[in-house]
Amino acid sequence: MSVLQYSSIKQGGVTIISIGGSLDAETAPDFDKKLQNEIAKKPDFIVVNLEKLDYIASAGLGVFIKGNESLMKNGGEIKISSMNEKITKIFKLLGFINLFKIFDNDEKAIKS
Amino acid sequence: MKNAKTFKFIIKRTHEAINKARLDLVENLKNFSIHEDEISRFELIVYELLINVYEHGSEKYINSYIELFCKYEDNNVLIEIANQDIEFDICKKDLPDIEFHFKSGRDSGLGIFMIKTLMDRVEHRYEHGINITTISRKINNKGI
Repeated sequence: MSVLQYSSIKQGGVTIISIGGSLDAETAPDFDKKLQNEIAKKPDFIVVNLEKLDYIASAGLGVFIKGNESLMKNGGEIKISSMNEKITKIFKLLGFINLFKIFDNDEKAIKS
Repeated sequence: MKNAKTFKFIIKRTHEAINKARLDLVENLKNFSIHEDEISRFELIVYELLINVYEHGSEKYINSYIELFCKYEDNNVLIEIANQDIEFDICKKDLPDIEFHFKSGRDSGLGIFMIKTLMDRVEHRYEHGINITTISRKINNKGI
């Protein structure tokens, strides 16, 4: 069974979500609900920290795309931070590295 | 088949078995001394193909198994995935426009995008009630 670790904190108008484990077809629906709950609170933007993410499948990437579009309706967006080597490789392979705003760490993402 | 290296898995149609097959694939491909970027590519695509079988398959075949056969020969990896089910031909699906997906928030079709863009060749045939999807790629041992 796939496991996705999830935690979130608020810093002013910014929500920082950290996920770890596997974001795949099994875990993506639950992550989607949690992300949409955060979006409903209308943060300025959301930083998603991927440092401890081991794997991401198309279902997981779809959650980011849908979430980003929902946030953009309110003038926000998803910023991705702390991608590890494996997830960076997947984003590069798929060309997603140019679609999302990606930062080395949460601090840089918040200040941008 | 001279100098060809092969392996084969039989996989149950469960998330757990599909995830295990993904990890087993990685370990087996490491034995072929293939660049890790290429292994990541196959890890992604095989997972998407197996999940397609799980998600788009008929209830009637829920207890049937999926066969995965892999052959490495002349610096080329070929993987064949076979399952008994109603026909599901990934090759008939249009290649999604990923930038349009991103701008419109559309979250479906990404698996098809991955499979079609990351492999050199994707083929499907349906024989005697069996879907057989073949993917292959010439290995680039320099990485991304």
